[in-house]
Amino acid sequence: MNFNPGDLYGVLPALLLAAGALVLLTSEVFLRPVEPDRRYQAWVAAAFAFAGLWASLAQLGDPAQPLFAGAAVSDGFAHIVAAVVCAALFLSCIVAFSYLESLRATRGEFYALALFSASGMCLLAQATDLVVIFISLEVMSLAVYALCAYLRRGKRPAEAAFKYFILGSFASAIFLYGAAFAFGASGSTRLADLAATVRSGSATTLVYASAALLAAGFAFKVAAVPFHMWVPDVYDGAPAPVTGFMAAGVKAAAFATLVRILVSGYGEGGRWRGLIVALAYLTMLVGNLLAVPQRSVKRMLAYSSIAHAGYLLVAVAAMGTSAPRADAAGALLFYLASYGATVIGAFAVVAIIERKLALSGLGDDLSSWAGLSEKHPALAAAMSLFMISLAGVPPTAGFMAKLTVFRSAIEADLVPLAIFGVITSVAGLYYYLRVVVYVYMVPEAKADAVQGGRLLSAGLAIAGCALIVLWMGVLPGSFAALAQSGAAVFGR
Amino acid sequence: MEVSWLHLIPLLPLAGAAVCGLLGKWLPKAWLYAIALVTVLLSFCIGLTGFLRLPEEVPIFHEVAFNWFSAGSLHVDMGFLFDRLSGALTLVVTGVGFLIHVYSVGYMDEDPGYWRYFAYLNLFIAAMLTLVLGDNLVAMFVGWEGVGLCSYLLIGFWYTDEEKAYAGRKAFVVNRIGDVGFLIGIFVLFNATGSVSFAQLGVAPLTLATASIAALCLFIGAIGKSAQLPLYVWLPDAMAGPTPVSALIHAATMVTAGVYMVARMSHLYTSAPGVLALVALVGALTALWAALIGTAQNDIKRVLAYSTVSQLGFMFIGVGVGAFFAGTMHLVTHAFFKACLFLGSGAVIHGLAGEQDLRRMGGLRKYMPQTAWTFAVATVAISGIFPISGFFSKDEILAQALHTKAYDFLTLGPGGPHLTSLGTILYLVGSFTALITSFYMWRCYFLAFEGEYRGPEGVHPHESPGIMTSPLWILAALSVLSLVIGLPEPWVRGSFLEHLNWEHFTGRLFSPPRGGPPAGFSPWPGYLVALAIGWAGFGLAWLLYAPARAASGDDRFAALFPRLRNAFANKFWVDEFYDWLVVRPLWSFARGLWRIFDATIIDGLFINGSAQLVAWVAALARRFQNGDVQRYAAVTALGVLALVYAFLLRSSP
Repeated sequence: MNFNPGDLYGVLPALLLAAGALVLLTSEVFLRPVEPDRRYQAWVAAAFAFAGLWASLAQLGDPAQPLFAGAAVSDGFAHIVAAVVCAALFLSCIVAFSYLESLRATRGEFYALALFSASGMCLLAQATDLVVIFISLEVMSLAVYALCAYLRRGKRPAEAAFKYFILGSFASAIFLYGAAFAFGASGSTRLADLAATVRSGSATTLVYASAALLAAGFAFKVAAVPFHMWVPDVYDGAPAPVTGFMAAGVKAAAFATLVRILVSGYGEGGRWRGLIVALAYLTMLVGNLLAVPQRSVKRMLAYSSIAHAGYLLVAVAAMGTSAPRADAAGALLFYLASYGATVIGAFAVVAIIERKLALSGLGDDLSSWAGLSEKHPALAAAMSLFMISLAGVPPTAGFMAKLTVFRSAIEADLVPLAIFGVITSVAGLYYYLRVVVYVYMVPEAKADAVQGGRLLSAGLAIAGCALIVLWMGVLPGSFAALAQSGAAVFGR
Repeated sequence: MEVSWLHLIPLLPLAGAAVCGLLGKWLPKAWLYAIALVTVLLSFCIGLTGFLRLPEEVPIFHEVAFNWFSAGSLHVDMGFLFDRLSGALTLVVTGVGFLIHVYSVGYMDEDPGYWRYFAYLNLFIAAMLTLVLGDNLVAMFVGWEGVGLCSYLLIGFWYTDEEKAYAGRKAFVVNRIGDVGFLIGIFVLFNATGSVSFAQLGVAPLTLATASIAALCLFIGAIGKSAQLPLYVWLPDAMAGPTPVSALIHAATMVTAGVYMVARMSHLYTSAPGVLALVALVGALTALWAALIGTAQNDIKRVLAYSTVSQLGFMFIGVGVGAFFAGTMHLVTHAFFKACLFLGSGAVIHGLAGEQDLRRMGGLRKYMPQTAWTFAVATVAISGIFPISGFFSKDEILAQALHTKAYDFLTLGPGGPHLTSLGTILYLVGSFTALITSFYMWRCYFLAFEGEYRGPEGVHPHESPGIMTSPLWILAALSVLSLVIGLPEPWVRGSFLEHLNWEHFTGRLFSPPRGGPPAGFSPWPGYLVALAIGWAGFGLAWLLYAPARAASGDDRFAALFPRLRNAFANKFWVDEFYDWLVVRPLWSFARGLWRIFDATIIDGLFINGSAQLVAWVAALARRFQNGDVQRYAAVTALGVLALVYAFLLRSSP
């Protein structure tokens, strides 16, 4: 295999992010030994994230081409996913800065780990070889496990991270098992060779077993039912900025890979479409149903993340038919971007509240959100906007995203699935609007709520997210065009 | 011609609104005023420059600002269309808007919410400009809803007063009824033609049925927004807002949107002659209805409000008989004199420390001469007394109504229905309404400005500051000057005034009504009748409300027509009727629903039931979600098994 240095340009965002992580780690060495000032790290990380975002957007117009002899690919789809990941990282760094500062928990690893995981995500979106997929998956996952355990005080973060690690390793093992089957069936780990085997008609049971195992491995990462069990505990236990990044970034990368494996590896969707449809039904139902009884906003958002995985699976299922495949891929990308912006904003608000609760020793319960509009009208308005967007009500990004996904499902003759999706998302109104009700209509229980200092940078990120959510909801044109251009690779 | 500066016209006031709304609380007052006023003035200047530079051959500027959204085959651009009609209206909106901004500086100066007020006002201008300049129905609808929003915000501006908040709510609810019609109209048109842009709708061939349904639905929207029967009830209550708002939104601009829409969609409406006849009929009925009520109102702003409803009816007669130019011309002249009247009433209210009751005014000409003079000029204009603008524009409508006597365009084909007498009926109703209009407007003037002062003790009526009187003078001057656009074409043919003539000016803009435009005719007989009517109204008012005994005028009126006046004074009991017909049944229906559905089904089955469901789900969730990693792993493994099994099952042939 020839190594072509020019191919490195194709993975520029991942390289930039990895370089940023290394810069941060190295700079640790030169800090003062006692009480070093690490505030610069957030801004360095944000700068590298921004550079990654810029690089992925700049590469958008490049023609699609295979890299490293077919082990990876540089195409619009991957660039859009990388852009979503980098934007999520950028916003999360800004949120994390004030969050960690206020908890006096800024330590060296945090931003480096975040950059490493993002670099894994970007590579994941580009990988077309099962081995590369596995390596990128582990780069992403290991860093995220560590981030979950980042706040070492208290039992919950450690427990959450440990659970995530155990179950995540289990899922990785399943994925590897599937990769082994695929290699056994096709004699190669390249998705293209796998597709050739499938096309040749000589596909054996082995091939389909491998498809099921690989899909199961990523169904775990995207939090599809019944592989969702880890989600509530981990989302609840991890620091809120990390949860937001996880929900936006990991989901985007994992969905991109799932689509890549299924469409590029197993071709025409006659075989896998039905299963994805079943997963989508199950995920939408269980996610929305289990979100209803939650009293903790973080756990509610965790189940909401499961429910949203269900809606995204609808888009994946719609890609099973070739006619509207590019449309469905565009819908998927648009949905990922809109969900990312919304959920990072929501978790940033949670981060501010969570920190107050930590200071006052209160539990994370809806009742502690009561009367937020009195004290912090802007925060309350932003949270309501994110809730409305998650519920899919106009004029927000969530509405346009659901609209495009359900439309692509209808074009793909999945009308019952689309109807079911609409019904479950109406049910979702119940638990999203409950937050709004508490924020605006329930008076505060006690007058002497803890006044934390202002988290200025988190406020900036929240404003940015709110702007994106509104922008994508009111003027979706340019975003949709971007998503469509990225999805054009699936138009063949 | 494609240009790139049109978006600035609505954008500037929008930016002003954003600055005033977001930073207004902290900005120094002078800065805030400067920002609010200058943005509108700049818009006006851009509009004026564009207006003067409109190319002669194809007098259209067009700009596609951005692709707004594409959903399937629905492709909507946010585009702006600046032709002679929308251009003229842009000038009216920004020009009158600017004057009212200036006036508001004096009027709202002491209100603590002044920054909110100016933000809303600028937002309104931006929305109104979007409505006027939008090049497609969806953009128009955005402006339509935007002006509605600002209207509710400003009606309920003093929202702590329960009654005023109620007025805002009423306007909101009544307008919703119309807006649903408007939306359905858009859908029908899109479904039939595949487009929402005016350019394409203006040439699209439509079947009679489609055109009629779409035109009817859109007209329902116009009925709501322009306060026609039966949805006019919100407008008199809308006077709860600050008076400059009534002048700008509820008289000069927003409420005329329906007329503008019908004129803009002239192709659609001439394709649906039945609906067009309905438009004229509704207009005529509303004009008469509101004018009658206006004769017996004592609140000065309510008199003007009913007069606005009535004048809007006149405009609908104009567009309804296919004389789109006449309807829109009256729109323009009405904007000037009605704004002047409203601002004058505002000055009166201001000078009398909040007094609005005509019975407690009188003799104000001595104390506020400038207000009195400008009010008198505008009253002359609205009562159609030669030669001020209202005379020409109103008479043009009546002449057109009479002249389309055969209602040619109702002839859909050979042997189609003829409503030969409709034109005559419209003319008679309109002329009678003109008589009443002149009567009640002079009544209003006499009661407020002539005779002895009957106002509250201890209040010293005073003239308003110059910042409030100068807009009055400008508007009064415009009320007079705008007569040039209404001069009959034969009079000005060949002279430079010909270019200013509205009929000539908007010549190729509107679709000619089916059956051909009315041929030339001599305006004189009509003018003489109209002149007589205008003076007759004045005479009647003088008889009953002559300055010396104005206070007892209402009693004399009541003695002449006791039952009629009672009906007028009670506004024909329409509010009570709606209360009886809609509100109460709805309440009892809702109460019944509440009993059946809420108390038993919802509370019993869903609330308690769903609480149980939630508890059950939670219990189920707890069983699986107990935090036990082994259990999680087991569920995952089972899922993998199921997935592999299903895959193999499905893939085995």
